[in-house]
Amino acid sequence: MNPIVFFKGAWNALLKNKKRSFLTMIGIIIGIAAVSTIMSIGRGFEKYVLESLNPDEGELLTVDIQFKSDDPDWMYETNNELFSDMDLQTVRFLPGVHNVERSGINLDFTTLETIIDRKEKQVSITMIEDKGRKILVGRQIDFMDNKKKSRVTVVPLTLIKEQYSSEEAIGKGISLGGQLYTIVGVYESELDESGIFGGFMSDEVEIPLNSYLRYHDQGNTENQISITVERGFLPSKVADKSVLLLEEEGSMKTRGSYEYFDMSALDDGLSKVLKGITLFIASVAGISLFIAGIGVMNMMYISVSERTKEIGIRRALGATQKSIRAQFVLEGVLMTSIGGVLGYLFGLLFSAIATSLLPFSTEIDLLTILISLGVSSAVGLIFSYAPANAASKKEIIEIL
Amino acid sequence: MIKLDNVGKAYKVDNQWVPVLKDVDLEVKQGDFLAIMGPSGSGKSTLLNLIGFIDRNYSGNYFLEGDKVTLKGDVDLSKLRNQRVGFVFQHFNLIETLTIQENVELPLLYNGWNNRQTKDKVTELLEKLGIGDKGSKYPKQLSGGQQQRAAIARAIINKPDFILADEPTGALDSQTSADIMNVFKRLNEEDGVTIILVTHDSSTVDYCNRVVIMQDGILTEEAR
Ligand SMILES: Nc1ncnc2c1ncn2[C@@H]1O[C@H](COP(=O)(O)OP(=O)(O)O)[C@@H](O)[C@H]1O
Ligand SMILES: [Mg+2]
Repeated sequence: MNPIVFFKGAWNALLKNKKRSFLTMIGIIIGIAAVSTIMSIGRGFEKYVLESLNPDEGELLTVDIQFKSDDPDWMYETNNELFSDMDLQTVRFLPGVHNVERSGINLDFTTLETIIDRKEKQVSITMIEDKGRKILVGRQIDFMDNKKKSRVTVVPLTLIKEQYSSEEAIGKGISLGGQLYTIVGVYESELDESGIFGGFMSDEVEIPLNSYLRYHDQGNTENQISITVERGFLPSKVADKSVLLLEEEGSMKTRGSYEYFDMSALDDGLSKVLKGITLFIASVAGISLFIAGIGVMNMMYISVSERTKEIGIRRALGATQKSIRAQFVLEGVLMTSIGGVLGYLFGLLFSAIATSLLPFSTEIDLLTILISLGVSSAVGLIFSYAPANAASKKEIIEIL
Repeated sequence: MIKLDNVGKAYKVDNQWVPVLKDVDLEVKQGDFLAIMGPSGSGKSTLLNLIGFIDRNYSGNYFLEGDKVTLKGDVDLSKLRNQRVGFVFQHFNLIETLTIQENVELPLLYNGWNNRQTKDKVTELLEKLGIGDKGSKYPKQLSGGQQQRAAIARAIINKPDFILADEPTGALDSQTSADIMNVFKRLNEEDGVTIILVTHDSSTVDYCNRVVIMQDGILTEEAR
């Protein structure tokens, strides 16, 4: 049977029962109105965040994704790359990703714990790869120290002067982050004359970079990638997608998990309230769509039993079981999708009212329309299938 | 054209099989106008439904032009019902919620036509059957005779090879009955349509060229 003919038949059948069809539709209308309201508000809010976060000019935003191993010991020892080139490629081709690169942990501002005079204290650490700073007594740290990963350190005079003179200090041990280091040099810290740093930043303790990586760092390879996000995309969304993708396909997916830190302040008050409202409306929508579905099913069963004679006649005239089933399913789907359209329109109205109280606006968007139509016709399909199938299975001979 | 070979059928009533058709052999040729007569409850309708591909649960064999119908599935049988046979029932069996036009075009629609293509053809046929002005009316708005004409229009619109009519005049007065029988006669003589007619009104038998008698599920040919 020609699809247009099918469609026309279903339409006429609904019109024959206007009142009943409309009553059955009400649940769908409420459910879809709720769905499209939350979607519209959600989309409006997202757009608002995006615009305030990601303006038209200026630097692109970046977001970091970190790999965390389930087994820290393995992380110490492995020389495997935690993010392979393949991983970078995969992430690179996600929508919204402008660029991806590996980035290690930030070594610029690292502190370690030390014990001076039986008192615990945090000191800033400077990593030396090649040659350390000028010293007062002893020797500088050099690249051989770095290469051998030796536990040697150059300390500022201010740190030790309570205990030793600078000469006495050479060759003494000092605990840094639980490891014993030998003091090989002492330097005189320039006074922090401005006073801005309050004397904190200037007391830097030097150790070789590789010693740090060997004895203190969790991972000795880069455990982080940095994604530059294209304009018009939400960093948190791009990061979410990347994490999901890596968890599916990442080279280390069996070894641990990927995570990111959302810096974009989405967790402020407004978004929390919105999340609460969303959850509430979503449950209203879910429940009303389910009940509406049962209503559709009920109506279709009644319709089938009222029209038993018609089914028999149609079968005698050449309708296959399949086309009888299709006829009733189409009636159900047509009814619920009309409900979906009406519901979407109501949703548009509600979200306009709601956002008049909020600092952003909503607009007509395709995704909301598609979801409204999709969900409503899916409800029709699911809940009218059983009655339609029952109709198609009737024996003609029993009917006529 | 139609050949029934040792066909039997039984209904299960109160856990007992009650035979309705017993060893029925029947051959119908192209152009036959066959009357099946017999008392009520003797199995005439059962036989007709079987011939019309509506009933699938029977024993024995049914050949349509040498083709074994017995083995066919739903899609094939539906196609046969749609294209090879037209049904006319005692109580017309028009769909109440559709207009005459919509009722008559149904077999065409199930044959793949669309609504625009059917319009002229339906109107023409309704005219030929003398109810050309009733297309947009609903069945309830027509007299019995007019409804039966509409049902005949629906039965023949796909140009079937044969028409199965189950007491088509049973609900009509004698004048209207005669009109309807004349319609059948014309179809048979002018268009060569094979007609199988169930009746227990002996006056309608005069229109036929063959008569078989059904008695308690046993079919016998009446010599003429
Ligand atoms: N669905 C059914 N279940 C049980 N018995 C049936 C059924 N349909 C018909 N019968 C029986 O089959 C016999 C033949 O019926 P039918 O073919 O309608 O007779 P006719 O058309 O000759 O009056 C009758 O006795 C009737 O009671
Ligand atoms: Mg009968």
